[in-house]
Formats: sequence, structure tokens, C-alpha cells
Amino acid sequence: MNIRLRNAFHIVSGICYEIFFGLVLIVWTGALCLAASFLYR
Amino acid sequence: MILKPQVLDLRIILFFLGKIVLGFGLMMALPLLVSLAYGELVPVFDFAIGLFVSLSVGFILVVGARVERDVDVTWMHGMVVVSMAWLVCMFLGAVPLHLSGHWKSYLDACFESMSGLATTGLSLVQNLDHLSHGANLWRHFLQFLGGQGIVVVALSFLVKGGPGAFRLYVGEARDEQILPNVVETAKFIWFVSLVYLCLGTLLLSLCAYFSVGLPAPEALFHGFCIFVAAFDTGGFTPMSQSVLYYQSPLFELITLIIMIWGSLNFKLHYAVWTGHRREMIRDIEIRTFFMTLTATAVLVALGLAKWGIYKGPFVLMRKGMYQMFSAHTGTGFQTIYSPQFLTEWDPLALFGIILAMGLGVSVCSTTGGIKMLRLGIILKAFREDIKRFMISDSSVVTTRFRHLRDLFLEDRLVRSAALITIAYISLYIFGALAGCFAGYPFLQALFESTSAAGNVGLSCGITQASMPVFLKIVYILQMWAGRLEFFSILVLGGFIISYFRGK
Repeated sequence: MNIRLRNAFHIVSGICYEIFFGLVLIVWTGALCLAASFLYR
Repeated sequence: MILKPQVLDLRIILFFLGKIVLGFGLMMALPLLVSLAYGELVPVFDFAIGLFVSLSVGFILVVGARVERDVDVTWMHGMVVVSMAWLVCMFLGAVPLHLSGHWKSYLDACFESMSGLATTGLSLVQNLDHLSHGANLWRHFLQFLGGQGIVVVALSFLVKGGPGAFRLYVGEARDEQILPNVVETAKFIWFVSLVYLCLGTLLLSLCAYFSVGLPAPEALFHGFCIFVAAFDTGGFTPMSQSVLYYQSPLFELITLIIMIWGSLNFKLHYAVWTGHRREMIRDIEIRTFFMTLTATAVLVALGLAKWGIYKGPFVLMRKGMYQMFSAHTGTGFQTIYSPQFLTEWDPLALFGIILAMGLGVSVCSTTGGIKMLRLGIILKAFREDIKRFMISDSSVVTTRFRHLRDLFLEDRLVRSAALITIAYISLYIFGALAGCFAGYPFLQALFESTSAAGNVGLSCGITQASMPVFLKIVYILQMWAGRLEFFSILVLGGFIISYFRGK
């Protein structure tokens, strides 16, 4: 049971981590786009 | 001397082909049931016919070519089975689509079927907004089957494990085994996909219901279809306006995150889901992805900002970033109309999108293109060669990189990465030349060719029912070769030659 709980915890935290990873990439590229648009203002 | 294949070789190939076709045919039961649930009687008959034809073909192959259970499946058998299976499944998957009457010809339905299976997303459908729920679901389900891998589907249900199963698995451009047993690997791929299927469909359906304002059953249908298209980096959408139809920044954000999930290596998912989260930042694929993402984002952003087509910086960010992620992950969702790429986008931004489409993201994922592992290895090899010039002749240079474990940069890895990269670039250029031959400008032809061969699905307007027949066939072949990463197709070619010229 403990092993199953630990596995479930790893899976949930893994999914959260992957969501966070996606958001980091989106924010990073979004910042690049904003920087470029301000450059040409 | 080339050896002619024996009768037993043909029987092994046809037997396993039959098993895969049986598994594929059974999948048509899902859209059939959905058509029944929505009270769409004509599509029910379309899928019943498709199901009957597929099961008949599969049954004839399995019974007609029956072989012993412990028969020795060689690499040649595995590769030939896989490359043929994708073609046969394309023809069978197109049957219900063609019967729906929404495709001008059977070839157009085959194009759609291959586009779905190869997770490309280029479409030749007519009047998509009035397509039945069953046929629409089948288009998206084809992406799910292709993204998982037709062989992975068969391995999960119909084929027992062992070396034969592994050779089939590798033939489908999945050379990375996650767990010691290949059937367990196939099941893990299903597990990841089903967990994300539940989560992603729920998020998208809620967003479609509350933010977009669709009725609950439609929100669920759209949520499922868009999830499947985003996670399998396919790019089909239930409506003709693609993601632009939903007019919701939140919906776009959720699809962006799902596209990124889909573009990650299944082995990396396994590492992160078993507590090894640091692998995400140490892996060569992710590091290279970060570099190319930055480079292409800069190109697209500078191109769009210079052109000044989008007035506010946030509009530029929303439009430019979405198309760029869609291109890099190989998804093909659009939040602009296809002709706008040519009429409104600067060539620099277009070049950034073409570059992103050609590169792809991870091996052992659902994306297409050259892929970051290969690019990372080639860049490391360049660095190693430069290093050799900087140090004394007697020194020995060894380079290591992290791809879920520490690996040494060996010549055979560099050679393999370089060969596949050259093959992809040749395929992109070949398709572009075919487009030029059909009368399209080079940049436009290169865009569409890269999109087809990289299994992306963004279109600048060439892909439509009125395009020349030979170009449709070229794009079908590009999608097939791009998805299977050449080797199994080359082995099929070798098999055919040896059959006719061998002794």
C-alpha cells in the first residue's frame, strides 16, 4: 500500500512538474516576443 | 548475391500484418458507437462497412498465413511489417471517411487517413463544420492510434512479447525501450496517454463549457478531440477554423501545455513520474529544445515586430508564440488563417516557423522532424572537433552527454544522427521541389513540404482538395517516410528488390 501511495505521489508531483515546465517555456518565449516588439516600437 | 525471400518470410510478414490490421479494424467500433449515441444512422453504416472490410482483410491474412507461435521474427520481418502496416491501415482507415461523402475522392480520404495516422494534421476535408460526430471522432482517433503507434496498439492487445515484438516496436521509429519488456513498455505508453487523456479532456471540456460557451455534450466532444490532437501533436480540429474557433486565451494556454506534454520523450515522462525530476533539466533533448525554441522564437518575434502587422505587443506574443509552439512541437494548430502566413507574415518569421517545423522535439514521442537528440549529438560532435584543434595532439578527447543516463559521444551515434538529419533535409527539399514543379513559389512549397514531412500540419494554403494529384501523393509519401523515420521504408524497398532480383 505504501509503495502504491508513493507511486501515486510521484505521478501527481510529476504531472505538476511537467505543467510547471510547460509554463516556464511559455513565459520564456512570451518574454522574448514582448522584448522583440518593444525593440521595434 | 542478393538472397530471394522464402515463402516462410512472406508468411511471417503477412501473419503479423494481419494481426495489426485486426487490431486497427477493431478500433472502428468506437466511432461506430459514437455515431449510434448521436443518432447518426448513415455514419453507423459507413463504420460498419469499414469495420467489416478491415476485419475481413485481417482475418484472411492471419488465417491464410498462419505460422508457429515461436517463429523467429528477424529485423527484416519487423521493418517490412511496420512499413506495410502503415500503408494498409491508411487504405482501410480511409474507407469510412470516403463513404461519408466529405472527401472529393478516395485519394483525398487516404490523404486524410495518413495525415491522421502520421499525426500531421493537413486536411482535405470538405465542409468540416457539418461533418458527422462519428467521422470527426475517427479523424481524431486516427491521430491517437498513430501517435501511440499502430504497432504499440497491436503489441498491447494482440502480440505476445519477445524479440519479435521488440523488432516490430523498433520498426515504428521507437528505438527506446522504457521497461525491460516491450509489451510492458507499450502498456506504459498507454498509461501515460490515458492519465493525460483524462486530465486534458477534463480541463479542455471545462474551458469549452465555461469560457467558450459550448453546450455540455459538445464541450466534452471538443475537449476530447482537441486533447487527442494536441497530445499526439496531430493538429486536426473539429471545426474548420482550427483553434481560432474558440476565441479563448485560456483554451489556447491549455492546448500549449498539452502540446508540450506530447512533445516529450515517453522515457522522460517515466523518469519524472518515478521521482527523477532532475532528468528534465539535465537531458540533452530538453537543453537543445530550449536553445532552438529560443532561436526560433527570436526569429519569429523579430520578423513579426519588424513587419508591424500586430499592433499591440501582447497580440504579437499571442499569435507569434502560438504558431511557433505549434510548429516546433509538430502539432499544427493555428490561430490565424492559412493565407495569412503569406500575406501578413514577414519572410524572417516564416523562416523561423519552417525551421521550427523541420526540427521537431523528442525521440520516442509523438512529434516528427529531425528531433532534438540528433541535433544535440551533432552540435556536441562539432564542439568536440573544435576542442581537438585547441589541445595538444597527444591528448584524448572524450565527450559525454546525458540522455536519461550518461552516454559517451561515439562515432556511430554521430553518424546515425547525421544520416537521419540529411535524410530529413533531403525529404523537405524534395517536397519543396515537387511543390515548385506544381507551380507554387519556393518559400510556400518549402513551408508545406516541411509541414508534411515533419508531421506538423501547419498550412500556408497549398493543401486543399484542388491541389494537383501528384502533389497529394508526394505529401502522403512524405508523411509516411517522416513518421517512420526512413529505415523501415528503406528495408521494405530492399525486400521488394530482393524478391524480384534475388536468387
